[in-house]
Amino acid sequence: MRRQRLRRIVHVTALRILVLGVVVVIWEMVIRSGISTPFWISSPLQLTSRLIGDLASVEIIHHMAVTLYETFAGFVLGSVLGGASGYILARRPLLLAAVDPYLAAIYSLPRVALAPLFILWFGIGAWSKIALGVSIVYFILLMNTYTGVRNVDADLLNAVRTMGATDRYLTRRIILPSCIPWIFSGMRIGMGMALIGAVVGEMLAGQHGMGYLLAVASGSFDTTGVFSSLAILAVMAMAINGIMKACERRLTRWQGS
Amino acid sequence: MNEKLSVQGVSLTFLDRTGGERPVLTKVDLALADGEFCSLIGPSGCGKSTLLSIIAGLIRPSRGRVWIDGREQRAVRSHTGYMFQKDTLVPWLTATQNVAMPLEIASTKDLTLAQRLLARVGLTGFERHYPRELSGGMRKRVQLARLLAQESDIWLMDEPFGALDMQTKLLIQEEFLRIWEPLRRSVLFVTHDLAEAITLSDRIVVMSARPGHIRASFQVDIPRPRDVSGVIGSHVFQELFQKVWAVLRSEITEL
Repeated sequence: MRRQRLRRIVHVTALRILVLGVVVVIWEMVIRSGISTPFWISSPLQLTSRLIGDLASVEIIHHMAVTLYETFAGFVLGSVLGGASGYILARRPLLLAAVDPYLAAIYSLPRVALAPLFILWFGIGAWSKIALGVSIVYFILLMNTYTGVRNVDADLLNAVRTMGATDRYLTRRIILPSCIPWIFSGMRIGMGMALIGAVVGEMLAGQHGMGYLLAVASGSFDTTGVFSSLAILAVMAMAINGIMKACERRLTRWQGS
Repeated sequence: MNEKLSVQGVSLTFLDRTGGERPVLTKVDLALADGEFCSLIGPSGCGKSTLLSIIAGLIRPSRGRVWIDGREQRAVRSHTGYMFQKDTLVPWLTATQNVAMPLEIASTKDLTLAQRLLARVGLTGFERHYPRELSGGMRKRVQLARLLAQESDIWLMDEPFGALDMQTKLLIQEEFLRIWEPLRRSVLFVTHDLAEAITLSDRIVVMSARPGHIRASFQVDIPRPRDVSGVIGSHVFQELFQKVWAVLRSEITEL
């Protein structure tokens, strides 16, 4: 069993390296054959040396840290506010009916369109990016938490109620735990969205962060710089996603696979 | 024997989407003696389960009253044991934690007691299993253990074994009688299985088709302790089956 698994891992890893190799070879061939030039699509060698140079500099750490900070702040604030709103609206149908059309109006707006407003209000520093992140994450968590609360098994609630449980007990021990899968899937999407908010915000205005680096590189026709920043961003996003998944698995172990 | 539960003139009417009135229960009168095992049987949709929910205080009747121990039932009462057909175990808690839940609510959380109760329903070795890791019959046993943990004096059971296959059902009925007979809690047991009703109960109440009311009541004169397979083969069982079925049949065919 274990040997088989090990063999499979080796196999899959080899295949993945092969895929990467094929892409690099095609890329290099496109340049050598003159179909395109490094000005437009950079080249494997240029990108590699730039990546090594970028990653070795202190500056990149600073930009990564800024983007991560904005992402996490937007994510945490948006999640807390959205989750709380979703829970309250699920338990107060009249309140929901009152605010529903307005929420729907803001929700249907592409939130990126709010960016100029946020820059006006919060300046070109981190807070305008955080606000953009919050405006996106908030609705995702609101929807998911709301749906989670509404989907709590009614029979289970009644069963625990007949044991004499108080409302507080029901919330703490039944409603919230049964929402965890919903909240978590919302949080996983929300984390990616917060990253989008941060990067888009940085691209629009500012002097720090991965989005800023991207905007500068693209503005100076530095394709290799754009690719390098994109590669670093992709790795950051994947790392964040991996951490979220690990947390989710731990907290929803009872569901099994 | 003292009266444990008394249902007096309970009616329930729902409003349907067009605003019309849909009667579910009409003037139900029912009494349950202390320690009596009474089965409620009737056509599906006759409001048997709804009646249980009203007795538990989960639904308010349009008319009529429910008394338990001489006190009128107005809200959800904490000493009512309720067992649903559906598994109402908490999926993210282990078997032991599920059984301990009523204890926790009564602020006497006691995991060793919970484990003893699990042993009593034959689930030693499954204490740390999650509900999804248990079979349907095992989950019923956990629910039984939880019911026992609740120390309730009245058990409302809504087709608790309805979803089980025949063999598992017979086994768990045996187990249930073995546990219940020395305890003698008052039980109101909703079922659509006539054989089950006769095997388990002291009395069988037949409800009419919707809107439900009490149609007839039969005493089950089979001595206890009972042995499930013995009862089913007996003469009294056959005779009672015919008599109750005749009434039940007329209600079903009226639909």
